[in-house]
Amino acid sequence: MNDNFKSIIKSKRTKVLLYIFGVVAIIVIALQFFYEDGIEWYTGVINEDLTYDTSVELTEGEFRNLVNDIIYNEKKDEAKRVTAGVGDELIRQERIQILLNTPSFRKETKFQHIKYFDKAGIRQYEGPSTCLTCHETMQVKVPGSPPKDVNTMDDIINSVHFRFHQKATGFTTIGFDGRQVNEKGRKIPVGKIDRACGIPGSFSWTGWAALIKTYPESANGNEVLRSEGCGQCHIGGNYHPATETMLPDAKVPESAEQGIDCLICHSQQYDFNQKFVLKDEYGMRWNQDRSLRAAITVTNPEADNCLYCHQHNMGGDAFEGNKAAKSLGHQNQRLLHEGSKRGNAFSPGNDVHSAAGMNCTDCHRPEGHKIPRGNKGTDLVANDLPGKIVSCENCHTYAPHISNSIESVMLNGHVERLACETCHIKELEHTNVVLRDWTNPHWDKEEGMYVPTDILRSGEINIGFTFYWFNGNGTFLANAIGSNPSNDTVYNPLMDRMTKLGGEKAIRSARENVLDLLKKKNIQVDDYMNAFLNTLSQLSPEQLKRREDMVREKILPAQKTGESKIYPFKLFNSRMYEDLGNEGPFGGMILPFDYQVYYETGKPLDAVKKAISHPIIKRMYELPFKEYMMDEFMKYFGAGEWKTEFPLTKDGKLKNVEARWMRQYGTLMVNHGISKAGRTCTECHSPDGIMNFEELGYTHQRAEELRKLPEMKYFKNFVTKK
Amino acid sequence: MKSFISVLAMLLFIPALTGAFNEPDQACYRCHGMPTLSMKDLSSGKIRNLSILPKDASNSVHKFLYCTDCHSEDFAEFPHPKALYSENISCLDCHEDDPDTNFIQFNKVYEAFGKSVHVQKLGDSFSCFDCHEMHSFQLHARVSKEVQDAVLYDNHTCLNCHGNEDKFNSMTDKVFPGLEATHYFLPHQQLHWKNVRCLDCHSDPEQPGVSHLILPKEKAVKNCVECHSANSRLAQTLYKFQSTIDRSEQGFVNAVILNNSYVIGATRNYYLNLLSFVIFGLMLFVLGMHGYFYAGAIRRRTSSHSHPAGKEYFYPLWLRLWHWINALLFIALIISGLTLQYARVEGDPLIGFGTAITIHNVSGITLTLNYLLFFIGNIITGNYKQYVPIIKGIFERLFLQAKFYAMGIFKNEPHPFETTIKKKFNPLQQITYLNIMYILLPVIIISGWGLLFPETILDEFLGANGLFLTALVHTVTGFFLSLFMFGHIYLATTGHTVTSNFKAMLNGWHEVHHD
Repeated sequence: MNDNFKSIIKSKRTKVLLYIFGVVAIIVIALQFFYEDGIEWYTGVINEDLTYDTSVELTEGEFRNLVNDIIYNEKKDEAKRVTAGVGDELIRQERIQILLNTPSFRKETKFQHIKYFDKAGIRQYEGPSTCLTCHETMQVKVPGSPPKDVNTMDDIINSVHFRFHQKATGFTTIGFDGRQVNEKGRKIPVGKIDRACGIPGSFSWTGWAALIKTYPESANGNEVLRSEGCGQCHIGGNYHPATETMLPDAKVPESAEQGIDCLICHSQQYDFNQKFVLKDEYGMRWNQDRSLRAAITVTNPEADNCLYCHQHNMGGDAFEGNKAAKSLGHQNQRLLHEGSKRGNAFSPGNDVHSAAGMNCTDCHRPEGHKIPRGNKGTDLVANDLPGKIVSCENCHTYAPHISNSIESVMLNGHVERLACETCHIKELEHTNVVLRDWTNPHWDKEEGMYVPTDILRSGEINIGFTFYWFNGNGTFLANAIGSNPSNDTVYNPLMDRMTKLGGEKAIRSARENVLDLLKKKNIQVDDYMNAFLNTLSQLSPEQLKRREDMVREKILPAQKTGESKIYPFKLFNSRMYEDLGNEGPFGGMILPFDYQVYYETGKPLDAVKKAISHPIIKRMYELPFKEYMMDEFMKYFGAGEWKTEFPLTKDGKLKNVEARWMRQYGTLMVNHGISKAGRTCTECHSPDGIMNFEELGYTHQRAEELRKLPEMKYFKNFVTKK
Repeated sequence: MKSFISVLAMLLFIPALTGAFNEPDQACYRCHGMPTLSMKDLSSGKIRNLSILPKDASNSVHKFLYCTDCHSEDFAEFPHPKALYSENISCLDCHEDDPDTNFIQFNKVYEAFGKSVHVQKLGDSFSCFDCHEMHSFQLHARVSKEVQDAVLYDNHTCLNCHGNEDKFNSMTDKVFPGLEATHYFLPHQQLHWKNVRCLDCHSDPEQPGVSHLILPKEKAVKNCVECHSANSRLAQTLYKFQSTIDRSEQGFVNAVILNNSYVIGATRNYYLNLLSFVIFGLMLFVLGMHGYFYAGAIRRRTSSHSHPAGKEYFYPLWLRLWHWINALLFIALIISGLTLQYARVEGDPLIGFGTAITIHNVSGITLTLNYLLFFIGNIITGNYKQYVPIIKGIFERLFLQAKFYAMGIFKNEPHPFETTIKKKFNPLQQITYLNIMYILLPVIIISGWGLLFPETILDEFLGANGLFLTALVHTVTGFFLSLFMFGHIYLATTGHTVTSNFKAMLNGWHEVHHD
């Protein structure tokens, strides 16, 4: 037996095999050691240990003072709340004092960690490592299955809030080639990280953190540095977004793990004045509040925790209820974006659920650190829990109008065809941006910098937002997909309604702004306007033909799947620079802007040049990226293959780059800003109703019927309850 | 009378709202055709569905009726007069003496319904309409060609409450247990629920066509053989109205059931049964005759015959272990398999049906593992070479061996092929074992696993029911393997002495003779 074995070892074939095995093993081991460095070299990112000045060790005395202060203020807030009804201010003050001196009043603090930190001797918050000393694992409860323990760090770094992309299935997006994104075939990383959206720096790699020189009026025209970038909200603390897991088999480095900002979501006393851009020897990154005060006041996330960031894309930065805007930074204050993305704030004044004191997580019920965003959507944003339903019906049932009246019964009847939002979102914020021109910035005197030009802002129905059929899916460029169940033959918004700006009032208002804001730019107003009044006018006849074919063959079949209802959608179009070397009938590859150049010089083409010189954009135009993801991406985009001709030539000129409006209006779901009182019957069912039934695919005869229902004799007096 | 009401309704209705509709129901559907027309009844907390879907109604047995044939004509008024909200309608209003629907035996249905567990437990407030949605009501089991459709439809009637926790809780204070939990004893739950109606086990078997005496769960059928037997209960219930009898002409008992499925114990073919008995009988007869003459030959043997010249270690331990485990499993599988195939309500033929299932499953899985042992052992030790036949001159050798068994053996002639350690099998043995071990056994193992997880079997294969084909292959293969076992045991006695082969298989030592 032994001899046998020896002879096998000695044979030539075995030797060759052993050599090959050895070489492979060495390569694998080498990759383990050098992969991280390789990634850094390839993508140009920087990984370093991150330190924060806010992380300070407290002495025992300081710790006691902090605890007393927190508890005192908590009591005081509660006392103010309890005495809110007292009219006389002096009497109220007296009552507050009495309550503060009453030992049984608010005996228990809601900040449980005061007790834990005290016992464990934690006097400094050092970041995630401090949290993980106790929370190394956490229990995740999924309805319908037993709770299970998971590694907390793994749970968070695989969540969208950290890595903001997803490589798996679960997108409600259907590519213009008719395929549901990542559902079949090779899966590519998609999500906010690389979505085709027209906000400069939306390529978060190039717009993570920047310092901008501005000359605001408030500083009498003196230079003031301001902070800007995606990193102000995302929880990674690095010099670049948490994109490691986007690359094949890459791991998140320890330094990036320890850079995670746990407190921004969990702390009830997080100081947003600490959120500003830091510049150190390695580059720029976002500061965090790592004070013990912030750490010791952790709870489960409350509405304000979410809204510190998410109000930005709902009511908007400039929305008066935006709490983050009240603490812009102790230094390098953050810039506020003008206008609002979706124009529907979640605040007590605008939303009945907010007024009821509800938390975001009451509807978006988390499983561990994974938070569901529902199973519907038109934007290409990654979803941690794709199948999980977040809907009104979860609480309100399918018979949501509950008084025992004929009106309620009839309203419930509408649930089949109308989404709740259709009646219960009556208008958006007036700052809601419909048309934004990034390519013609203008000087903003107040802020002392160049800003993009908004051609149209409106929160009105049929201008700022309008109705479309929707089956839960959207196209790769955020267009609602759905069809009229009673007549699915004519409804084709991608060739029709989504390519036009609707209504005389909207056109008039846009024209005024064009004349006013762009008068210095030497622009042919009619030509300029024609591009967004009829976006298809930007296509060549061949492109238009191809678009018609693709819509008919790929999109119309998708429209007819599922169950469609009428939903309201916020409308959006913008003029941006596109790489026309990679253009299809639905648009070209949108190019990013460099924040600093854009805001400081107002020269958007220079800003494009600077942004696409970033190593990651160069990599995007190389073969490995093409094979790894860009080809698939462009197929979904409806533009065929990814062409790797870099749009910046060696002598610094842009090639194939031109300004374009999107070839169709984006339609974004609006679900917040719910008013208790819905629309009345006659708002739609009357000759001058807000719903254009013909445009929704109804026959003219049916549309006429719907406008003149005989039942309106009875229902016209119906008034919705405020 | 009915048509008179319709005409009257039509006349009354036309001017009521718009005057534009010819079809009186259209006016009702304007609102009640909205699928989500419903109200939350605040006093009970329940949602009341007020919609009638035209597409459901047009498939219903009541599709020829106008709304006002059953409901008051006063509903034409909008808003409806409040007095009508408490309108009370009963099926018997129309069906008591309706000759067209006599076959349903409405009076018996009402009587049975009154005794059913629902009325007994929930009282008189439990009405027909708690189970049956009259507007979409269909007669599935009686008319449907596809049994599974009928099963789906009828079970849906029950699952409306028993499969819906909210609905269940609104009817009773009992804790909703979940169907999986209450049917814990039922193997292949999903398969059963797809193919058998709740009613088939849960209603009184004495009145098969009436089906409305729903029994409390203690009295429901729990005995597998009530269905899994030649006189299957299903033939009186679920399949009673089946009109298509495709396979009955080919001799299948319970033929109607077989159109769609294979039911262990109930699927039997008269001709195949007969054939199997004939073959088995013939084999016993041949073996018996052979044995008679062989016994004579043994008596004529000379005394020198029984002395071995030496011993050789033929059968290593692993092989013997495998062999005897296989033998025991064969016996277990044959006994349990026969029990399943010939299950009877009156009493099980060999062992209990439930026990037989367990034994058959456990033995089958063990057989697979044992087969793997055999397969791997064969490869490692090179024992597989014993099974590789030499093709050249094979027919001559087979003939020679057959001639020996047919004639030479009776004259105590020497075996034509001496068994050596390199060639343990004679040509006939070799070819038989090759087939048994590498064709029949794999076939029965694979088909057995298919039947163990019937959900995995293809629904259809070449136009035939996949489950049915798999079961047929399994049963037929099992029969031939059983035959083999009898032949094998008999031929084992034809060694040098009657017992020498058995001894060899027990201790591994083969006696060598030179005669």
